[in-house]
Amino acid sequence: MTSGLTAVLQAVALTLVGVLGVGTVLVRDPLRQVVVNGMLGLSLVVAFAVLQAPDVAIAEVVVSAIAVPMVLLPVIYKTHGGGKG
Amino acid sequence: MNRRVRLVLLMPSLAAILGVLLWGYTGLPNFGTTISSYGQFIDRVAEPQRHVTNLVSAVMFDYRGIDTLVEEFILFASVMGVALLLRSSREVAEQRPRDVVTSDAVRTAGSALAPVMLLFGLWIIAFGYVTPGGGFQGGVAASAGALLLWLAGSYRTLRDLSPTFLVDAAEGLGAASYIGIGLLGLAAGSPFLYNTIPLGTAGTLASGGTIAALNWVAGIEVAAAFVLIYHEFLEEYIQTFTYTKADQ
Repeated sequence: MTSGLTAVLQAVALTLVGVLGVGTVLVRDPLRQVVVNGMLGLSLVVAFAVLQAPDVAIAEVVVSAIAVPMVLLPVIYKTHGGGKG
Repeated sequence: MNRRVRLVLLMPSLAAILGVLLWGYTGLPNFGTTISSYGQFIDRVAEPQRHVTNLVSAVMFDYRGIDTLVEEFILFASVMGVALLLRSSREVAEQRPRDVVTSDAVRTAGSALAPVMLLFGLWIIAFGYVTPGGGFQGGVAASAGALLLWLAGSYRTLRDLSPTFLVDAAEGLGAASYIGIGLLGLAAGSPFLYNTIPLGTAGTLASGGTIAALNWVAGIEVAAAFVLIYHEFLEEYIQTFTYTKADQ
């Protein structure tokens, strides 16, 4: 069985995942969306870590901090007229 | 089709999806209570059988090595697509877009962090089968070192320090070596991807047999694939940036 503290951490992390996941969809500006998506990534990292899946947590770190913003930011820049749109 | 008709059409589909989801969720084991029988089996047999202490890598690069092979080739194929679509047919180094770093803070922090990031990535790869980590995670982390080179220097610095032929070769050889290591099993008269290299001592870097080898080739392939993506995407970004500047 999980201890009380772990259960609390899991509940907090999963709540954050839910809130930030919905938040990412509700934010309409793509640039802000990348930022909120990064915070969603962080909350997923915490969730995986407290659920004892460190391998997945590390994968989520590199995907949400490096790969996703790296691909999204140039695309947003290019498709929104050099960051003016 | 007006809004009302669309809503009427949407509702039954939403209800059906909700129903299927609820039906699926009620069949799941309770949260945090059950470890599947497959998980319990791996916990029991993986360390004695394969001499690795990170059981996730034992599953990824050995028991389910063929799945990881397919996963790696998905990345390989997508990066080939990026290169086919975005890479100029005749690349001339002098015609690459030019950009400069304007902030001293970014230049200093980027220069200091680039080697640290590369080393950190290599460390995650190297200890992938001993502690949490592995080729995929470490490969992306190592590639971030290249990204920091761009932040600290310029696009041309990044391209000069990661020559195209080297990145292409690393990516291709990383993918091919995975199959090559798989063929070692066939050569020894066992199934494809069978672990035929001596297994070594669990908990040390000399352990795991083909798990260690596959971990490294996956790491090299992933790192090279991401550097290639950075090359092409950053080139697009800087071209837009330069044209926008020229307009103003």
